[in-house]
Amino acid sequence: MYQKPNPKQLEVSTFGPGRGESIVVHLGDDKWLIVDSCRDRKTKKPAALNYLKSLGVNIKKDVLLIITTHWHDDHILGLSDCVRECEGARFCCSAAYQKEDFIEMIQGYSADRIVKGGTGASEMSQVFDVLAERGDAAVGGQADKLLLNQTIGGNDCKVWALSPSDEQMLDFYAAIAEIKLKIGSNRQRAPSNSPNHSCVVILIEAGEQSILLGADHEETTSDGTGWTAILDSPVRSKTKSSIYKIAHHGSENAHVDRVWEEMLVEYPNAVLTPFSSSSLPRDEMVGKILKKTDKAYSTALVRDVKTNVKRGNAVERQMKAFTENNVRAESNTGHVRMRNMANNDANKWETELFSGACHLDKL
Amino acid sequence: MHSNLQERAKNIIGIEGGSLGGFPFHGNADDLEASKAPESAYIIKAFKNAQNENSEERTERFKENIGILKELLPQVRAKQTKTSTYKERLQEWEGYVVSINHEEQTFRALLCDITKDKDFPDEEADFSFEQVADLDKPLFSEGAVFWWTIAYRHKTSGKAMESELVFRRMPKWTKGNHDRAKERANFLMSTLVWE
Repeated sequence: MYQKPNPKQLEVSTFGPGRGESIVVHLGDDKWLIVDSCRDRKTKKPAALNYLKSLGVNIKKDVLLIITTHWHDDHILGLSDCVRECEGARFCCSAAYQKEDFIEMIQGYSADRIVKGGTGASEMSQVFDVLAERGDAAVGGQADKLLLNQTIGGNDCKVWALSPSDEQMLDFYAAIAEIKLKIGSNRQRAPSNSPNHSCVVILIEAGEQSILLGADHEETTSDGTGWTAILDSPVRSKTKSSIYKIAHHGSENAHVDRVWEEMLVEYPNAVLTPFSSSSLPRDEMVGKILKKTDKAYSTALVRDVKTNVKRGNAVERQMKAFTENNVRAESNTGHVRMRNMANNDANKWETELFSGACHLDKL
Repeated sequence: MHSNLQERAKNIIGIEGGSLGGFPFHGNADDLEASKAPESAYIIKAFKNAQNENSEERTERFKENIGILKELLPQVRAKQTKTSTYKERLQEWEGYVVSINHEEQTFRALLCDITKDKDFPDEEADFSFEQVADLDKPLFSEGAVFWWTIAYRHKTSGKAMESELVFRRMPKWTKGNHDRAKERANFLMSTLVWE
């Protein structure tokens, strides 16, 4: 079904099952990046590894960098498997995660594995365990830091972190202090904090192409934080990207006109992963995005996908009565793939849709 | 039944929001009195789990509670011949609260199917605040974990289907837990190298 890209081709493949996100980038010459991780709904294995293995990629040596943009469940499940199996890859996460408070906090929320299904905290904890065991360094991503600078396939390739800013890291430390488990408190899953102060926005420059991966970055009202901090950075590379992984599942808080005007070419290729638990993206935002570009795609169609798991009639009647008939299944792990030659025109990206991925106007 | 013993048993097994030896218990004193075999199965299972836990304190507390409950069992069994009810679990999920909508008085939860011998994909559903029992309301928050069970309640007079949400009485975060987390964090801080 899948064929490897041409050694001179760039590729951005985005995976999302309706609640989860993972991106795989081909930089050329069979060298790859993984950004975030989600588990494939059917195989329960990391979608990124499933894909790379299906292409016959040597994941032990040809994955150069694994980046986790932040530690929330929907961006990180299966990450420890990726780190474990891609032995030659450097690992990058937010520089904010070097703080002892954060490491102690995730130890607390991952202790005893008390809930089924895995959590962001337990994945992050396992990643740190793997790195410590192997003696591998971690790269702390923060605003305007160059994570990778190599010539690949004859092209200069740079991978930048554009966030978090110093001010955002301070906000993050304050937020962590609030959610750390206190002696005597009841254990539970870690609550997600919003806005997401720690996440790493990525800019990839390879040949003539530029790719912006917006993570879950949201705009804020505080100086020195949010998208404005990135836009106003005097150090930021001013190349305009022709591919945009839309930030925060197309939420209103992450939609900033200046990003579209100053960081992206006109009518870029855009992709988002929906987040069914918060009904993202909302209809209004779908409309706004389609006004910016009609080359916009979603990895999954997640409007009220009724569960297709068959149980006995008596059980199904109870389920319908108890939840007003709204038990929903995860979508299949959809896949949006975009390919272009590194030195080609920015508007020559070719998009393919797999496993239920669709044009945004279908949402 | 000896009233002091009954009161102590009720406090142990959840009426006041307590738990069985520090371990979450899936019922109340009325269930324990009325049930057939399960109460002993609960005790055995919970005790084995407590033994596997790395908490001497919890195991000691549990042993004390076991003693009290074993005194109750003969009296419970004597009652069983008169009123026998038990639950036949058909479907179970472990869920956690993903988001709360106070305006609509609903919450959204992610559900993992934990029914024995089944391995279905995760699902998601919205529930009304009304599904949360009064006793569970102090535990209700984003991130809170619950069990949703659909079961037949068998009685001598017949059987009825019931659906129940029970929020987990999660173990409290102890000083021991805190110290172990801090120790692990210190080890990682001294071992991890950052570029």
